[in-house]
Order: sequence, then structure tokens, then C-alpha cells
Amino acid sequence: MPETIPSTIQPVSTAPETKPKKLLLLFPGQQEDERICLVIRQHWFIFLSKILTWVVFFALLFVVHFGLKYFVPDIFEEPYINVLNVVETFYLMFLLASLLIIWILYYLNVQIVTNERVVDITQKRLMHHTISELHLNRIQDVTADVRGFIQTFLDFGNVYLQTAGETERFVFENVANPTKVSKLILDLYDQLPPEEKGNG
Amino acid sequence: MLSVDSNLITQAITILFYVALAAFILISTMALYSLIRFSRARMMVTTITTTYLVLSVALIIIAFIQLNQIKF
Repeated sequence: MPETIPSTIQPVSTAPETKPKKLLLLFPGQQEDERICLVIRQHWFIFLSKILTWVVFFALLFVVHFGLKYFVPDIFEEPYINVLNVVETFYLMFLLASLLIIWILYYLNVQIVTNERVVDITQKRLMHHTISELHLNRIQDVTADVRGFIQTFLDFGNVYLQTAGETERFVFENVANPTKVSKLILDLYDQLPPEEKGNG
Repeated sequence: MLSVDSNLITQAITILFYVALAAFILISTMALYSLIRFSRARMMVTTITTTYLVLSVALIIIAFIQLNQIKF
């Protein structure tokens, strides 16, 4: 276990040698002796920005309602008021669904760093779920990328993992403390036995 | 003639209502399926699913009551 663990990231390290209890499987294919070092999701600012957008659409319901009341008062008489009520109820229903989807897309996008590999679980859309994994011995280069004022101020950004023999990079998008995450991955790579390094 | 037009309007609103309801149910089913299928935290999933279903059913019942009140 490396000494430096980013402060905002929840370490869920379990020591199998000291606690041989029932293993909590976080991802498919997890080995019993595999030690989970980090579980990372997108930075809270990304989630907050989506929630704030949702709040704007929620407030829009009241703005339009009172706007209609002010500019088109006739719509609040029978039978139009009933149609307006149905439309507003459906708007609320879809707002509720969108809030659930925002949560799901945040919660199900997760990166897991273990002492053996890096697992990237991505939920791009509701029915688009991918699990990619990369063994630490295949990592050639780790890059932390922090761009712009907000990312610098709140300390979040992308972490790119360059693998051996592949052009496509492994990307952790908008994770907290990207420099610490990249350092942790490099530390874990350094802890690999010499015969395993560069065997990808 | 006026009653025929009124019936047409009411029917059109009813059809739109059911189309929107079907879309909502489809989206909700997909979302809940994804959450239940891919999440590992069973307690949290149960709580979120139950809360969402209660709120959704309440809103659907309200929408049906409001639909029945539409009379042109």
C-alpha cells in the first residue's frame, strides 16, 4: 500500500492476509487476493454542475407557470387549465427520470485501482456499459492533465494511462487529485516484481 | 360539428398522454434496470428504486386524474 493516497478518494483497502473474511466484489473478475487501493468517481464538481442544470430546469417549471399566469391569464380557465396541469405533471415526471439518470451515470462510472490492475467501468448511456482493465505491467506512461481555472482551483482533471503496444489511451476523466492518482499508479507499478515489469 | 371537434381534441390529448406515459415508463425501466443490474450496493439500490417508484406512481395517478378532468 503506498503512503500517498489522495485525501478526497476513499481507500477501500482490505488486507486479505489479516482479515480472511467474505470478499466484497466490486467488479467482475476480481481475484480473492487482489487488494483494492482506490475507487475513484468523477469529481463532485462535475456532479454538482449536472445537478445545478437540473435545478434550472426545475425552476423553469415555476417561471413558465407564473409567466403564463401573468401574460396569458385565460389559460388558467377551464378546460385549458386541466391540459396545463397534465403537461406540468409530465414535465415533473421526466425531471424525476432525468435526476435518476444523472445519478446512475455518475454512480456507475467508476475506476478501480488494485495492486494488480486498473479497472475502468464506464456507463456511457443507460444501455452502454463497458468494463476495461489494464494490468499494471502493461503501463508505460501515466499523465495527469489539469486544465483551466476551475480544475486547477478544485484539483481535478484527467489521468491518461499509456499502454504498451496500443495507440488508445486509458483515460480517467475528471477525477479528483489527478497527480496523486497518477503517482499512486506509478508507485504500484514500482512495487511489481522486476520480472513482471514491461511484460505487456 | 363542435362536439366532433371537441372529441377529436380530447382524443388527440389522450393519445399524446399515453405516448408520453409509454416514453416515461420505457426510460424509467431502462434506468432502473441499469441501476439494479450494474450496481453492487444493494441497500442503496433498493432505497433509490423504491423512492423513485413511489414518486413515479404518485405522479402517474395525478396525471390520470387530471386527464379525466379535461373536457372540451
